[in-house]
Amino acid sequence: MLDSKKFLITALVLPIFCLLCLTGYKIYIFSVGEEVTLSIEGYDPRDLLSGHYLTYRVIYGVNDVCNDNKYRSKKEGFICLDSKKFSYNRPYNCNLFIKGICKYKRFIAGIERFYIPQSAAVKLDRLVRDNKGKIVVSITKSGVAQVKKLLINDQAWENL
Amino acid sequence: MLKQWVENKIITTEQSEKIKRFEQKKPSSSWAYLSILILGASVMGIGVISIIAANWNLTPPFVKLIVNFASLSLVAFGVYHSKLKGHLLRSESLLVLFIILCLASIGLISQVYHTGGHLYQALMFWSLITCVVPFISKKLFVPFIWSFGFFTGFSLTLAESPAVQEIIKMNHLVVAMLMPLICAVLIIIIKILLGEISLTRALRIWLIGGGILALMNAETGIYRIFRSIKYLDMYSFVPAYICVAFALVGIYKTDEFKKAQKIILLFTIICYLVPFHLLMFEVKSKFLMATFTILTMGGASIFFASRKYRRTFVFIITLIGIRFLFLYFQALGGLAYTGFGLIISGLIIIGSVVMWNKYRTRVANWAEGLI
Repeated sequence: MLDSKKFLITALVLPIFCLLCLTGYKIYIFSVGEEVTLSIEGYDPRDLLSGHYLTYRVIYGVNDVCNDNKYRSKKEGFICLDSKKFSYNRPYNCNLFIKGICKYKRFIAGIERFYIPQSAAVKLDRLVRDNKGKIVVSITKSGVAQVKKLLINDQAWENL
Repeated sequence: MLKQWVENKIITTEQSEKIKRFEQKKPSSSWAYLSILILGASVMGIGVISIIAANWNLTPPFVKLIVNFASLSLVAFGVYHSKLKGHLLRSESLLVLFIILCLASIGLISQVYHTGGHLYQALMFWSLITCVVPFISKKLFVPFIWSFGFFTGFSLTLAESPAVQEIIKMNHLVVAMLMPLICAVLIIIIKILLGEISLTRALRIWLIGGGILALMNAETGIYRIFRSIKYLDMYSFVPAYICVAFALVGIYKTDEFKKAQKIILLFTIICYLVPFHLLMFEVKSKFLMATFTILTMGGASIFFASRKYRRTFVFIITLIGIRFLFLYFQALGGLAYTGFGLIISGLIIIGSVVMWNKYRTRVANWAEGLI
């Protein structure tokens, strides 16, 4: 079985197919989600696999996020952007919400990262630290969010 | 070697010369050639990751993605073509490049779409999408790096994922205990379905390595017992018990092992689990911990010897020796005692190396014949 042509093709095509699906899923969130602009503040580390990125704290304008001492480690959480409220359960009567994870009292929605070229890292880092950054995110109906753009002084960072 | 054989009249001088001439005419060994090819492919793969990580903003994202998928498909075709033509070395090196390129592709996609998340999540995803690739490899390297990615990704996912925290409770000790057991279950399943392949060999290396790391974790756990115990309860052991049950059924069903080998495996598994349970029951005896570590390694060494895995046997025996030495250090107290202890330990090390060097073949033969 292991030496058959079919098995060989499966082994080689499966990873490429899965990667294409992942890309397709990302394109889907990009295109169907609702666009929202959120303010950010943060600093610049780097990733071994994908290079330099800015990481920041997203300002949702919501109080009491992930504050329950019962869930100290990791627990799913939701922020309703309409009513500006946080809950540990999926919110009803909310048109636009972001799904994330509460970890050590921090809300992580997977949008806390923006990849940038190495050459622009220092400059962008400084501007984001000075609270001049914003991100444009795309949010699906199920609350999955993805970063689309980084804005500096309300303009695309590439225009700097 | 040949000189010694001639001196001891095992072979004649003429035969010795013939052997020398024959060996000189043989082509250079393929493992060295393969190692260099694999090294080249790995370096190329890492180079691709670096190029992607540089994040060239002048290239539009879709161009990056197209180039990425085109390269991936080209390398995949290269593997396919080389396999069909029977070029083993070429196909293995291309397979290394392919599997690294898959990881680089995840990096590129997360860069283009600014995905959050950790490296271990990327490794987990990578090991899942490439899980069939190690089965087509005929050499050890691809299954070895795949298993590394899988166990790193899987153990950290277990430790961090909110879905399993009711059981795991972010306790790294539970994850460490679980990994070798999962490895054992995988080996048994693959062996039952497909027999001995490169992947089972690679998994065996991780089983031994993971087992040693887990035991070290348990033994050091005694020093942080109050922190560990807080989250360690019977629920934490449920996944381990399930794995042990699977492993035992697999061991019982297999015809490959003799009855005595099955018993020694059972003994090894029980001894392996004891140190973790000692921690749960707050038993703070260092010596009891060390005893079960040594018994686990002892059981494993006898099993591997009986299966004629001589190098593995020698490796585990060496570890047992080192553990005994540490046990001796643990037993010491005060500077004067430590001074005498170090002198005696030095003598023991030298003595054991000399003795081991002299008698290792005899000991291995004896162990192989034990069961």
